[in-house]
Amino acid sequence: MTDPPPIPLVLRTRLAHATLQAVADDCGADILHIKGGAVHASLRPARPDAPAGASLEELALTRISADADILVRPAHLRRFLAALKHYGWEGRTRLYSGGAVEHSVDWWHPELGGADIHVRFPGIQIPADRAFEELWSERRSQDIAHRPCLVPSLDAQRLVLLLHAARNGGARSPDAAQSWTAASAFEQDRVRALATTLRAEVALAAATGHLEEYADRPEYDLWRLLALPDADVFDLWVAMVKAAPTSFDRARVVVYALRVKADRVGLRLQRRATLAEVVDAHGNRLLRGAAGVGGLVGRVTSRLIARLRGGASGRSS
Amino acid sequence: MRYRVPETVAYIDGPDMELGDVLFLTLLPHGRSVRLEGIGRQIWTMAAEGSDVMAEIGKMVEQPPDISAVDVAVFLRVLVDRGLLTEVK
Repeated sequence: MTDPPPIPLVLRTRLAHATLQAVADDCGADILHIKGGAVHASLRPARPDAPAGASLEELALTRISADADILVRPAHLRRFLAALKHYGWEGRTRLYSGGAVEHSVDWWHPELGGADIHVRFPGIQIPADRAFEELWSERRSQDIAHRPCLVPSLDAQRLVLLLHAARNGGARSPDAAQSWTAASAFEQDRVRALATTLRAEVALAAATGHLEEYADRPEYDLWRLLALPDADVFDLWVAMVKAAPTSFDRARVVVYALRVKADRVGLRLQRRATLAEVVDAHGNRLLRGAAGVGGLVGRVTSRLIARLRGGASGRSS
Repeated sequence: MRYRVPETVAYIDGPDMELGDVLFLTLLPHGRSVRLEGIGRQIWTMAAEGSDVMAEIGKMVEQPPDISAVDVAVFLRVLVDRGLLTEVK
């Protein structure tokens, strides 16, 4: 018997899910396990070499995820993070925008690896606490690493996979094919209904190839840009401001860009960043932002001039 | 003596994930993990299934394990002491 052992990633994230559930139970926090090892077998692609008579679990391909993703009831976030710390987890990032820009925080366990603690899921526009309650009300239990873990309903799992796909290739994503194209019309209707309840129709449309039907929605630009492999960061930020559901959220997105984020620099460097590196990274970001503002002003001015000229020529004709 | 898996243990058996003769056990909620292989994995699995481990080991006549009854008893005691199995009275 040897310990602590290096654990293969595919097992590590599943053991992390079970551990996160135990921590949540211990501190009385409500959490839902999403993506990766928490996805129900019926929503995973089938194994081409599965033997006849295989069970649903044996038939499904294993999903490998870099970390264990969970959604926590926003009101329970503080107590849950305190409990994680108590049990040896370490916070790697923090929420600078209260969740208006970042949707999750990264935590790390020396044996079980990473956990992505979501306070909301990108694409869902209703307030995070209401969204969680909606998903919680239809929760189900699913064994992960032989421990009962709470997961969203099958419809909600399908929607979460699609919202994730919307940011990762859109309708061309393998998740979109499995979760949408392979779904029955009845299942698609139920997912659409849930998306409407959560005000996630635009992101769902981005994953299912119907984004153009929502060109008049404030979130349209954001989801159009997220589908591009090389979207400009400044354009994304402008789209994020536009898509923010409330004035308060818009203000938080604006302020977020100006915050110094030492943890993000450290995460990129894979070590604690020095003061000089943080200042350098922040300075570069502000310069890119200034260039973006310059470009935006230029585009608006050109459009205005063109409109004025058009108006003048219209009057002269 | 019979055993069961405590509620404070999560586990994944390697063959279930096509990872061979290895078993990972994680103690909850701390997340400390233990790796068992070979005969150690077999003993834990038999115990977790509620089998009489000594009897099952005795039945392994075709490929007798290189382990004595005393070794098995000591190993089971260690597993219980470490919270990886619970004795069923």
